Amino acid sequence: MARFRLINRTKIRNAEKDAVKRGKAQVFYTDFMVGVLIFIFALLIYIAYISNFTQRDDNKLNELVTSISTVSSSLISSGVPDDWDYGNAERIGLTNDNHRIDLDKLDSFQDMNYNISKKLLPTKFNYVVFLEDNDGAVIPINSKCSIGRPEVVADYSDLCAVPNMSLVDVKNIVTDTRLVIYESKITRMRIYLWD
Amino acid sequence: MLYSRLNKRGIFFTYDGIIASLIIITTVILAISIYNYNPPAYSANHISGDFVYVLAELKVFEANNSYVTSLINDGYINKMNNSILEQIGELWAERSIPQAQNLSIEFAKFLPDEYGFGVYVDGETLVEDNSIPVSTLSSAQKMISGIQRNRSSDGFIAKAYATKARKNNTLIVKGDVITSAVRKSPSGNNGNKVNVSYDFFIPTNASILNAYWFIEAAWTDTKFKAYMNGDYIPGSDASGSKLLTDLESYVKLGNNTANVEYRYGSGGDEGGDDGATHIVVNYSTSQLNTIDTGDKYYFQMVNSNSSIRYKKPVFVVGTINSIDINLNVIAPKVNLSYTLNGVTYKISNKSVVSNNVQWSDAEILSVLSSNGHGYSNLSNKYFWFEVDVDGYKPRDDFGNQRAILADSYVHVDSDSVLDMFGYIDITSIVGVSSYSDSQAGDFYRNVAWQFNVRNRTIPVNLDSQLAWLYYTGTDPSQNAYSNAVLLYAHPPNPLVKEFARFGYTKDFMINGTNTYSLSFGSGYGVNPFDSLVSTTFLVPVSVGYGDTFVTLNSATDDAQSRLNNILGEFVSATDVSTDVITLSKVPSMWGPAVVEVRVWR
Repeated sequence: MARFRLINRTKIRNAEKDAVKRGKAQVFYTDFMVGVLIFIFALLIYIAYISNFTQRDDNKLNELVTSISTVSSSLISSGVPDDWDYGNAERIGLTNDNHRIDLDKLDSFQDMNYNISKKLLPTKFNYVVFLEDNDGAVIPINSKCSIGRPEVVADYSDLCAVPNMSLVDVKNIVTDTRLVIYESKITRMRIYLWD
Repeated sequence: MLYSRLNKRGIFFTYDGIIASLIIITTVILAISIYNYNPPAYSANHISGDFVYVLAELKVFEANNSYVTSLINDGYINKMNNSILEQIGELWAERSIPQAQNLSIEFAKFLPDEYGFGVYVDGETLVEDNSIPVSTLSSAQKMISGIQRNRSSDGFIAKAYATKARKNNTLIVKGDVITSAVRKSPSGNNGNKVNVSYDFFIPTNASILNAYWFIEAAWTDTKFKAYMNGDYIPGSDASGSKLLTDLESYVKLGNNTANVEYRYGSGGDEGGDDGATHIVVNYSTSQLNTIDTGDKYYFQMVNSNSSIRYKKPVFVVGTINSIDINLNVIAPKVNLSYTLNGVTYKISNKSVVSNNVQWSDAEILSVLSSNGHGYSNLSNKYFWFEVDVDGYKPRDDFGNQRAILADSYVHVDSDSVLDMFGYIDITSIVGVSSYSDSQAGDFYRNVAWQFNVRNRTIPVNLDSQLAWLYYTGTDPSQNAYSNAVLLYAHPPNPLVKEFARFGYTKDFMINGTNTYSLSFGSGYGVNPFDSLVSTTFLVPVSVGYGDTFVTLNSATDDAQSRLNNILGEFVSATDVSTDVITLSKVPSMWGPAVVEVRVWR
């Protein structure tokens, strides 16, 4: 602040003389101290933030990990009942119980209201599920690129990308990858769960 | 001059500005990095299982893979309906190892990039990708079998496996040798009650068929009462010993606690268990593996107002690598010894801190070495740890509370690995086959038990808890046999005064009828009716391809018949899956073989 204050020339001159008398080190020392203080201040804020962030989110992450285990197991199963459809689903499962995706079940899952599907997985967190080939390319599911929270489910045009999570507010997120057979190909089913 | 200096000062301000900007930018980048961290991935636990399942499900004809096509063109693959996993196994069985390896690698490309993998068939490493260091590893197995090419005859062959089954199992809870004074010195009741608790677990989906409890106190006059899960068992108020039968209504599914309260009788020094007490529960369950594969041998909980002597028997099948002991006790000090072949060796005396005292592996090994022993001497046989809580006096006054609390154990690390994949474990009681030469009453000098080891079952061990009688001052011979093999002999080995436990492993068993026999000289005997001998064995849940039959039904019936035969009297298959293959110019079958996939990152 002092550097930008208007001061008269005499004071400048006196200050300059003083600086010359005491040498340049005095100028660098003051600047250095101010710089160090700013840096320490920033570091303290950073450490406090990190510490708070870690403590606050450990419990939530544990909850998410537990929940993604449930969701993942449910999706890899045949669901309840075994031949469930949109009308009678008690638990959503996408396979024939041998890791082969049942296309009818996948369609029913995609058509289902997002909030209802959360109850049938079951999870209280937000989710998105998408399929990936072994090169990491996202495989479209009918006319969409994924299934889940509507804001991150993109329409399929020519290409599908991994869901854009910047479109939603994400505090904590966990992911899971399952191997399934989708249309006679080994495919990665990826699940994101977040709060 | 002044301008020149002012200009320089301007340069200093610019530097300051740049430095401050860098600090701010760095801070901002650090903060942003928090938001851009990689989300934690949960997949490591099941990716290997997924990989095995998809390979077992995906058929050759649908694989649409250039390497598979080349194997078909080159004649290595000729059964389009094989799963990829079966095809890997078949190539392995036909010793087309490079093709089996390449096929495994081809499909491992579907694993996420950050994972390393290995494929193993019947323990043989087929392929292993060590480019990824191991920090988390998961493993999955699947049993496969198949047919080899160029068989000459036509017909049907079938294999069968039980996808669901129920087994009749026996849980045996053996009492340890536990004593504490109920008589004061020189004579009379000291008023002490010695309470021993026995914890056990019944699978929650089980049906309890039968339960009984034999209690044998340390002295023949010691009085006691018994409780199951807090309920007094009518008729259990007895002295010496008591057999309590029809306890099904007292035993519950899940965790159970049985208690015996021992007290002064008519002159005997000590209350407690002489080591022959046992609880036996027969139950039926669909939980196929119930054997305790843990490495901890827990102490039963004991509560007394006198010093306690606890002798803990340990029988480890396999080679011991290390032993450590954790005791939660109420007492100022504890003395620890070990007993091998009837001779007791002191380890050390320790003070108790915050109700806990421990002995490390180094401390125990050091004492073993000083006595010329190693862990090899303790492996595959019974040995004992003897714990004296607060010194030990067989006659003592009623004093402060002394106790061995929950979660006290001997921890044994060994190379004992029971691979139960594809098997059901069964524990059953072995019946006495003969006894002769009564030493006194029902205590006999020659006793034998017989059991059968059937083809394809894998025996684990034979374990016996013996109600023994020893005439003090005598030196009777002691011989223990498995069939004709002498496993213990005194002389030349030391006399074991408390011959309360004896066990041996499958190395001393034969297929067919096995005889376990004990023979003692004058002065020693065991009671075959109050002793308990059990054997544990593993039963396979599948049978491979059998003979070739003209009709499909005959092949299926044969497979199911062979499966029922191998399951035996203790297991009944409630859901059987049968695979039938039409043969045409196929020379021989391979398998069943276990394919294991390990995945790590």
